[in-house]
Amino acid sequence: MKTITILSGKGGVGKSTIVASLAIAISRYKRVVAADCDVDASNLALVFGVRERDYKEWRKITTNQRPVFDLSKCDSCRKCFDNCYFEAIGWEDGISHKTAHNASRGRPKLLGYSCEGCGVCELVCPQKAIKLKDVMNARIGYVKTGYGFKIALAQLEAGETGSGKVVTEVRKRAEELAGDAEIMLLDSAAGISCPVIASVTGSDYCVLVTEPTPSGLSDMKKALEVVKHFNIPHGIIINKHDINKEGREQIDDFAKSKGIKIIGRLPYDKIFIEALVNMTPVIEKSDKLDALFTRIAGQLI
Amino acid sequence: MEQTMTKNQSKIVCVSSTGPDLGDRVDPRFGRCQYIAIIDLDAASAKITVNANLSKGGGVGIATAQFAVNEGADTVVTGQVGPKAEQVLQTAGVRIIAGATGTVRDVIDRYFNKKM
Amino acid sequence: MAAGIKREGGMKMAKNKRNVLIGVTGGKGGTGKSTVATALAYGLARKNKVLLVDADVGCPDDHLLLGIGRKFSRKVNQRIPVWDFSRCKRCGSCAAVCRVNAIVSIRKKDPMFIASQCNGCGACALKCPEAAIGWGEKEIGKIYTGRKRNIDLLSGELMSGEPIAEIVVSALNGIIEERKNRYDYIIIDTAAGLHCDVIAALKKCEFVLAVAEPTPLGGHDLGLILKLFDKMELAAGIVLNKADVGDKKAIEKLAGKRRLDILAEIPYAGEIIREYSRGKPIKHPGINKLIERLQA
Repeated sequence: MKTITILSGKGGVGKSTIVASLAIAISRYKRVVAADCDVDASNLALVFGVRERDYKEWRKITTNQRPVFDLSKCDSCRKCFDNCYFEAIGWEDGISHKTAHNASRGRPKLLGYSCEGCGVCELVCPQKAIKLKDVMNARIGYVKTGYGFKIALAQLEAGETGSGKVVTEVRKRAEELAGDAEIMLLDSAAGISCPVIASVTGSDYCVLVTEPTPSGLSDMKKALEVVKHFNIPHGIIINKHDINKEGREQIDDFAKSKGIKIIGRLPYDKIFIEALVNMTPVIEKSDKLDALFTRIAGQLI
Repeated sequence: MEQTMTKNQSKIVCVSSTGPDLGDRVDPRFGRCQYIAIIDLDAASAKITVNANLSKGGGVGIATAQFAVNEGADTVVTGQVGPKAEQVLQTAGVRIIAGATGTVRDVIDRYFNKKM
Repeated sequence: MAAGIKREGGMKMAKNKRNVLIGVTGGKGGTGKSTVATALAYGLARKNKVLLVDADVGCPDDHLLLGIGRKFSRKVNQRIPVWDFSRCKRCGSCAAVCRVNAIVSIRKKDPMFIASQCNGCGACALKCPEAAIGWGEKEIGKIYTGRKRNIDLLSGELMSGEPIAEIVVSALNGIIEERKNRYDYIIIDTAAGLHCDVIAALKKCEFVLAVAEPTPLGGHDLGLILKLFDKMELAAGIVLNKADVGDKKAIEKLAGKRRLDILAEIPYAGEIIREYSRGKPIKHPGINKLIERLQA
């Protein structure tokens, strides 16, 4: 099975829109499975018009660990607070609590968002009052599109972190669902940090989506650095390629200078946003776009 | 990247596998393989376990490489090794046979002349 | 500028203080966070001292939207362990305690360190029975500054391949803390998503703008980000971008449920897109209205 990751660096350039229509085009020739690796804002299924009530088989997963404090053992030595590199432990002063040592010198308070689950607090606590426990921070499910293939997806609990690890779980689920699929498409998150890295690693081909705006090009270059870091073959799709001639030329020049193939150019068209609002993949709405997506698909399979 | 091996050079071999049996196909990816087979050539025994490293976010390849090293493997047989896992295996002096295909049993026979 | 109270036509938010921190975020990528943040900074800078902080450290764009040439200011470093191998007994404890696969223990050899995996937590140094581990640094990003008209720009950038954006954002927060007294407004433009880097950027904000688009995807993502605001107990308002493309009702419903105001509406007009694609900040009456309401 060939894994293809679609990323962009910049948000909102049309990754999910493109993945959806591309998946449909590819599915006419090869069996497909998809994974929505934008786990914070999982909306690939929405592009297909699948509503949340039709999401299947939610499984709660845990990819994070968080410290649990047994305050009855705490003697307020502050070692946990002093040693946390991520400032995930705060200190509440002067609140008395029941301890064997009868201290009212304050107590630790976990700031969950910043916690990396590294276990240092558990290591340093002389009273053994801290234990790392699993946290159910996300749920994994899937949807059946109306086109004969499935999309694995996830949702982080609000405020929970660890999206990189959840992406890995979504990919795993997609593999379980793949059956005899020959192509796996990964719709990645915006940016270049850990959730994107988790979508790129081990992939067979990366599609970089960009648009002819200053940030579109700049962000695509950052995404490209991640792809090159992993040494993965790649190509570029320019979305809304006709909104700015200079911008488009800059992308073309850049691609040429690096020897990167432009595998597709999509025009700016209101029909894209109409399709999104109507929750129908845009390939259904236009023969011209159908041909464009089919041509791109041909270069990927 | 095939390497010729003589029978006597290797003692413990790690093979990436798609399943829990010697008859299962070699998993083309090392770090993210589904199962890890550790074969003791002298004892003609095999231990195949689920790759527990898959749920770690980053560094899956490193963790799988660490597992192979901990098991005392001197050779890894697989399809492809990622750059980080490769770095670990090379530092540990573990030989890598990449591009291997077939079943686990096949590759043990082919590269080490051992019928399991 | 004299220190002290600045009053101008009833600024409720800045009543007895200056340096108001406003975060701009949106969950979904591409809703127009940077567009709104830069336009807001641009509009406010006419009469106020503004610091714009680009906390989208994976893909910073604000300097491009405002046409500001950035100047390198300093590196952002993260600590990494350094072994004194003369003390190391090769026990493997450091590798065993590392949860991010940054240390590999190899029989009869020194432990192997993989810097790209390391998040600096310190578990290895704490665990080492021989006290053989000390501290070094790896560079994970850079801070840039810039200035145009009355806007000071502070831009953070994460090096590609480094997973922990939050550390660069924390460095930005540190600089904000040092300099905030020089400004009337500090606008923090966050990354897309809801990860720890977005949370770190919003932590200190007094008010947050959620930029949303009236599409099913936009509504879905706004719901998630509002849940985050609840958890973080942030005062917030909504900016509706690309306001004319779809059905506003879903957004209005969400806003109503949480009793948040929709502070401005900006349409998805052709000229705005073309100006944006040329790297010019937008000057729409919607932004002026937003400024009025923030100051009302």
